[in-house]
Amino acid sequence: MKNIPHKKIRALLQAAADQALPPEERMVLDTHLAECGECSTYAQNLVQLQDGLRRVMQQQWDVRSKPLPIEAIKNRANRIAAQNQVAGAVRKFAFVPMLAIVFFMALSFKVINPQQATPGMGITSSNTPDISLLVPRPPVGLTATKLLTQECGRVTYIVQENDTLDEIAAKYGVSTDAIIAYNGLASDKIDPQSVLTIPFCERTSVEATTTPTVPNTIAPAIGPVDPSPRG
Amino acid sequence: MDFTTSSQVISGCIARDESAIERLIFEYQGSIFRLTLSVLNDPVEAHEATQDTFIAALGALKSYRESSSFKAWLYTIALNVSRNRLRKRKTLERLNNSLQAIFRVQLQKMSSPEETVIQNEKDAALWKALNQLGERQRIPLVLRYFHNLSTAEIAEVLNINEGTIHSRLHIGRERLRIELEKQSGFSGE
Repeated sequence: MKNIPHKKIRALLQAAADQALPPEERMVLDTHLAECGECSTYAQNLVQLQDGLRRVMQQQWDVRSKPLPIEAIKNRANRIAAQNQVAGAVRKFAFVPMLAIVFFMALSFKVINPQQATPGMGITSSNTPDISLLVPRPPVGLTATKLLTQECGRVTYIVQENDTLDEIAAKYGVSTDAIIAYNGLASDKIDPQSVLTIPFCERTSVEATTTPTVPNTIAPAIGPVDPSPRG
Repeated sequence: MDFTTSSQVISGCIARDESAIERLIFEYQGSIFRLTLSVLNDPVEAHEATQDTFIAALGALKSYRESSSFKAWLYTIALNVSRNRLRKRKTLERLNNSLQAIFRVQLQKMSSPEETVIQNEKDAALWKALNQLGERQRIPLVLRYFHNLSTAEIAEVLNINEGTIHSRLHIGRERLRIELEKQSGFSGE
């Protein structure tokens, strides 16, 4: 028993002070204390310290509480509860304005977007897929055409004297109907110096869908992908 | 230590029943005042902190879960309220000191924890040493020896591991012992 270090015994004593000492260690401690003078002094000091702490605090804080203002406490607690209720209600219904804001943001985004895609144009064929943007989830086939029209390459063309619409269409390899639809023309008569927008994307898609109209056009000059009647 | 309260009183308080609130306050005001006093060391401030504790508790009663003891829950609130006040007081003191330093004016002296009613010299030294301890060691010691809580209860109130409480009590007692030994050594020579 002699070879137990004092430090260990001190730790045991500290644990004993908090009633956290297992009984078997208690026996070890007791036998050691009976033999070791230094450690028993330490134990006595510890007991004295604890008694002193209890005594000092009792003396110092032996103050009776003044009666609490119960009415005031109730009132303040009620007021806070009322505030919390209002705050809770606000929090509960906050999603309604949030939803409205999100909806309007989405709406404005959809409205602005087609204008950016085709500036200054009337009702055209390319508008149709744009409206489909408002539909939550378009089928895969639609997405492809949508992409085509969105990334539509365009060229502005100033009409010269003696130009005809058919000639212009043939020059760019675009169908006449597409140019008419895209520029919102009333007929296939065009005035000199007027500005036309030539939609390149109509080249493939329109030709693919409107093959019967192709033979009407004059033989294409440069259209590389044109399934021309000569071919 | 009786750590239970009828859950009827609590549900009565949640339903804003006046008599239930009164019963709750009557039942706990003594112990809560003792707790705030032992942390704040100032009866006037402790009285205010006790009120704040009950107001906060009544507001937060819905979030109280039966799994923990009500008294421990209330003690935790009281401790938080008191610690907040202690922090404010320290800030104020620091401000006070810097004001004094700048303007060289003697402002009203704040109540200091070293003021004591204890006559016995040895106990006064112990009291002084206790107040010089950090909050970490002081509050567990106060809960242990003034409020007679077990380490498990202290752990619940402070929301700290029980092992940590053991070590903090250990360190606190050890520091006090060393401090007292030093002082008695000086006065003895």
